[in-house]
Amino acid sequence: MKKTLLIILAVAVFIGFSLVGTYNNLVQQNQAVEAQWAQVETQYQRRFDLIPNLVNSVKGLFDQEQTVFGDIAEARTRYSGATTVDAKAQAAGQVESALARLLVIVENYPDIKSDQATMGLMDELAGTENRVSVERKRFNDLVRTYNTNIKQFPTNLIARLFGFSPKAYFEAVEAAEQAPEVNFGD
Amino acid sequence: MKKLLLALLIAFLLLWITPFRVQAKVWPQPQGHVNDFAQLFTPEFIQQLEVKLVDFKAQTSIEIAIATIVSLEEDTVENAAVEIFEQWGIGQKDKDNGILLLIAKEDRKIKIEVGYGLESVINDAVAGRIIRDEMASAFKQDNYEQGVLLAVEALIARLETGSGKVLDSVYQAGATWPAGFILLVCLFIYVFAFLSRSKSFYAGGVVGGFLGLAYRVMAGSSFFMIIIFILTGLFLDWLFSQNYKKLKKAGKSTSWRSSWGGFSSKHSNTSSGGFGGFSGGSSGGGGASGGW
Repeated sequence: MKKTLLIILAVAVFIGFSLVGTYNNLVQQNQAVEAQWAQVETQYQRRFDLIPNLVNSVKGLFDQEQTVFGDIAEARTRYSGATTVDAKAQAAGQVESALARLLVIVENYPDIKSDQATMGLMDELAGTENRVSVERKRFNDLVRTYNTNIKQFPTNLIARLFGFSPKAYFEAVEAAEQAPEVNFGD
Repeated sequence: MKKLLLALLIAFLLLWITPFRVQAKVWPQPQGHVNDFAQLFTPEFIQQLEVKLVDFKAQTSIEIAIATIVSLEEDTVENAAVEIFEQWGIGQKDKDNGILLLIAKEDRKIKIEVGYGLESVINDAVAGRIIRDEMASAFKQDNYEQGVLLAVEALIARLETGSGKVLDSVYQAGATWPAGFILLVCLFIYVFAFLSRSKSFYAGGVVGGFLGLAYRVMAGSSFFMIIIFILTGLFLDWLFSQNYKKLKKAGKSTSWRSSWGGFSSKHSNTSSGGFGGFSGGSSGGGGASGGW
């Protein structure tokens, strides 16, 4: 009978350790998602730092395209004022589509797009869009890993016990998902 | 009764074996700094370029990788570059100082992907200019070797003049082997030096299992690791017991120090002279892309 008791004890200890282990695992995944979100925000900031330069270099050249600049400025203000992740994501999406339109406009002015300084700026902008999409994809991958794990048995029991809830994916704005294509080839 | 409980325990363990991970496309492993999968270069050129890149790495620790592929297969060149960079780990792990030059032959696309640590030196504008000025014109005349050589020379020149500006990356990549693991291994070996003297065959497995659990609690590893720990425990117990018996039989000393805690022979890592892979750097979509 002593042996049975020992086995029961071993199983109990095992389950106890499993609980702690799973909990810690979830905490780590949670942290990873948050760290990755910070990485996405860094790239957004980079984008905002870049925009004034680009706007200044082309603004005087086409006054008829004022709406685009207005849209960018408005989305930017909205992003700074956003407090939740969802609101930030939405404002960032607006910046993205406005920028995509600006790039199309620049495409239509051969004089501007062949200018060395503008070309450099466009490279930076395209690179930033690509960085944003890379970090965002990594964010979504981490969220998917986390969400799947907390929905799987038996981790879901532990997740519910300690209040780990599923996280929202970052939905990119339709048509702005790809980095805007900047093609200077002839 | 005992068997039933054991079976239940094992079934319970199996539930945890498959932790979920998001999978990306698997690219072929790098064969060197120059990976000409699309066969755009002559062997002499590859050799010459490889030497150049190995030398540059020896001087600066910066890893420049070249990859040519036949087709992107509906993917974008930006995506492919990020995936390859991620899987190869170009650049030093703590500096993220790697660069990938990706050429997709049929899609006529080029991407220069820059590691986090070099973004300030090879900024997007610089990368874009290299693609437009050095590569595109040569590539238009199907002179791939000339274009790649000019691009590599431009990159190296830029890195040499701007290397003072190379900042340490702030980006932290995924988990590494933690120091705790090494400590555990030491503890493991020490415990087994004692276990080898004991008669039971399963004690090693039990100890392995508990160490595995402890490791999971501390480092949050998957449950699969625990099974590995248990199997390692059983195996080491067996191995050390054999070794202990043998030493005993031969009348040799079985003290901790003279038997290296149970390891009677030293293991040495021999490295072949060939390419040992890149050093684990990461990138985040920096650089530029273009076509020809």
